[in-house]
Amino acid sequence: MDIFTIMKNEIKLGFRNPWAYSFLAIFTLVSLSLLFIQSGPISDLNQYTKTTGTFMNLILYLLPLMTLLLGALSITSEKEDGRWNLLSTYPLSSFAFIAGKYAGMFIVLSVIISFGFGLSGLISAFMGQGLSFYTVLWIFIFSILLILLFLGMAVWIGAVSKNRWQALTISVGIWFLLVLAWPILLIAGLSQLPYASIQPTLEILIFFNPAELVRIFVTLYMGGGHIFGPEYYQWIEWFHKPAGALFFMLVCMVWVLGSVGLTIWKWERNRRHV
Amino acid sequence: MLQRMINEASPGDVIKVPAGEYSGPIVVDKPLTVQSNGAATIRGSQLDPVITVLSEQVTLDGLKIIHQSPDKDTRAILVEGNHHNLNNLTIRTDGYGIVLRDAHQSRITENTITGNADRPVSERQNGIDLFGSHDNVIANNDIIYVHDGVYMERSEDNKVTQNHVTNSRYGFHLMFTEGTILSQNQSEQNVTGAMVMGTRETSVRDNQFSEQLNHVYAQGLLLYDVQNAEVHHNVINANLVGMLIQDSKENRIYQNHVAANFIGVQLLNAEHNDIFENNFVANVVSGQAQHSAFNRVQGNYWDSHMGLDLDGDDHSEMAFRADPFFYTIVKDKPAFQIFFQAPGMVFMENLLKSDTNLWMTDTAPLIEPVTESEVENRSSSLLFIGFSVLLLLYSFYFIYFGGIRKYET
Amino acid sequence: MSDLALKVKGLEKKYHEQTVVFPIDLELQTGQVLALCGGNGAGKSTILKMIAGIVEPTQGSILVDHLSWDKNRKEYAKKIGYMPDHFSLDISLTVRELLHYYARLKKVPGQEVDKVLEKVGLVSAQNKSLESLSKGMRQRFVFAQAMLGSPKLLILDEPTNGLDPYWMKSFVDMIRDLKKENQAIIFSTHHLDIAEETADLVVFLHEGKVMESGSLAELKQQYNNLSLQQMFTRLFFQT
Repeated sequence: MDIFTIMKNEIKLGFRNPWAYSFLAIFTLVSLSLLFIQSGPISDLNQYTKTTGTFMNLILYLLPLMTLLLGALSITSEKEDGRWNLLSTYPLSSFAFIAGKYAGMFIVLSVIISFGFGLSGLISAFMGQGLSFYTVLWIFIFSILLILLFLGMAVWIGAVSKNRWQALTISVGIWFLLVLAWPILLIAGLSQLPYASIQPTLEILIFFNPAELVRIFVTLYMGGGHIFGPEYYQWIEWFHKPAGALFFMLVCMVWVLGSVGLTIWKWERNRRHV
Repeated sequence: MLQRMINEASPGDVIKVPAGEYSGPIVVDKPLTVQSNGAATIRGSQLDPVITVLSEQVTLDGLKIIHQSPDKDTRAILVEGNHHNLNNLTIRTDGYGIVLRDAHQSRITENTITGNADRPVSERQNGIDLFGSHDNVIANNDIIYVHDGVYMERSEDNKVTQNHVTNSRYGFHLMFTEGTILSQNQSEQNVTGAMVMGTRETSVRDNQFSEQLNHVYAQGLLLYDVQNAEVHHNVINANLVGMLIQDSKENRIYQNHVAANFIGVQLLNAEHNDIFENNFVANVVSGQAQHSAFNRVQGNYWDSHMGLDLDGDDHSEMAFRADPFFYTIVKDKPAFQIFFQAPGMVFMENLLKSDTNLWMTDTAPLIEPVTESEVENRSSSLLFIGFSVLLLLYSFYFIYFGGIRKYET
Repeated sequence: MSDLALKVKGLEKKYHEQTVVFPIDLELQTGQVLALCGGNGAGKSTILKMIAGIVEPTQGSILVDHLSWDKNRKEYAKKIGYMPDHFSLDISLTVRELLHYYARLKKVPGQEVDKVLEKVGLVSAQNKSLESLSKGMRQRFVFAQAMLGSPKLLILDEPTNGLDPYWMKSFVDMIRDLKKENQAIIFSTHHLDIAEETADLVVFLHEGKVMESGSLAELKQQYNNLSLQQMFTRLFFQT
């Protein structure tokens, strides 16, 4: 029940916060750009085109950063403003507190993207745009997955940061690393390895970057696996099987439960060591 | 026994071969029809062809030929002379399938040719092989596990149509031919769909070249040293390179659908070619040009292009330039292709825009694809509205009841 | 029969070998008020945080209503009400909303909110946004939060910090009212006059050490009826 109380409070705080509305405005603008994209799907099954890829990219620039900032700052401010100090004298577990905040912020962020997608979807439907429903559905799922995974990371950043400034710096740093610098770093770093070991290393590293993980798998399930080239055909084929899809869901769950679990553990450990 | 029947027949006779096993080599040296309902099998395992067709107006129909040989340069059927008709044959060969030497005005139709799948491609021979043979029609053949599906050298005015080639090296291989029509054929999972080299006046149209991937030099269509070819209405998808145009000039390439290839179109030392009204969709690299000036690349649809049509002529006023950045990174280490369209990659691409003058450029790209496949359907549109409304309700509920509404009593 | 609200024995706190609170013993009956007096860095706040369960003691034991934190955290938490010294209320909730949130987390019924609002005199401001509250009203809010569910022990860290004389007076009244209801209170302050007006027991702290302690009456007797302010001056500035 405490989880629910914390969650509701988080939602309330979220929607009385100007931050949430500026994110909502930005995200709505971005999703409105969907309207101006002509997407001519090759077939009904294949939802992936270069334009959907471009749109996914826009979301990848924006959503992880938004999630990291909102999540990390919300957790850190609880510490910095002394509200957690007070709550830790309450009969309240660290589990309920962190899990409740995670759930609340997830709802806030999911509302932000739902508004954006809903509005642009409605306009696009009435304008008679050639946008396929399944394309939009997949991009929505893509966004939700990004929120789930990055929010886990965000609460962890919030828990290890001493103040807002630190939380902000770490959030931006991680975003830069995982979203912008990732390919260049790996290309520079892995080029030194013997060629035969590059691909296996890349295939493993995908699971350590939620941005890449979600991007690659959603592309794959949208039927765009071929864009990664023949080298990955077998790999892609495997993930198209039920076992592969299950494995992907499992990895996502490990990310969420792992990062939230780690945060709870850290939070509890710090509880009486101020 | 079959040879004796042939020897005893008079020109113009029809020999109905009874069901059963026969052994070659067989030579047909007068105008005869040799036919079966598929129950006659002719085996051969010598250096001579299993069946040799000479003279004129020989028809082979419905026979089954099994050609076993340790030597790949042996032939199942050798054809010389004119006006022959090879129809509905089922050929299983360790060497060549049907070989035409100075054979003209013949029809090779509805045959099934299967090579030896256990041998590497380099140890097989061509399914249908023409040399110095003109005015033949090669149609509706199904060819698998050979070296090249249909190979033509120094042959003129042949028509190759509605054939299907898979699991071989080249689907269709044209060398120094003139006036060949290659139409409505299908080539998939070969090294190259159609390899056209040193030809004049070739027409390549309505073919489908798909999934040529499993080789470093795989491509859908390769034009090498080709002049005056007309390449149009082909569907070229999921190949390593969709179209490679090398050392070729004055070809017209239009209204092809080039989709989901690693490189859509690649120009190498190509000049004065006319490339227009093609669709380039979902290719990793839409196009590429090296040492290729003076080509007219105009009015194609490029899905990666964000165009702007100000004067309403359906052409963008902004030129499309294909950025080679990603290609240069991935060409030696294809494993890095996993970063295709990764945000960091796109970011770098925009950061490191090199000299754009060297890129393949379409000065007036199309805003909409050429042949419009109307995928829009109303049922999904209703679903779409429902989904959007649901999302909006969800967000309004939480914004109002979760956030804005104050708790008062 | 004596009703022991708080029993502290040998309580000590060290941070990296540096002792900030030397072993201290405290006892508080219900209906009694204990004032921890001293300057900055005296260790008052740390002692209160240890009692509130926020800071882990290095040594010693704490019993609130005969219950220790280690035995049963949740039950222990229900026995205390804590008012932190540093607490930001720059959030866009109303007084009532946040109090209800705290009440739910403390598992006390919603009527408690009205009760404490009445006690601290925030009834008229209950639908105001917390951000718009004055410093004094914020202090009242935090105080109200501590009283939710009528805990056995109130732990108030610098409750009079930043208050103007009018609020000081009303704070004194509130403490006196609570005493009548048999409430046990421990608070820290550097307003010695407030301590003098409300406390039964007084502890002077300096750099983590107890300089003087006892009931207010005893200390008065011992120091010839000096005020706490005068005692303080004598203790710290005269030899």
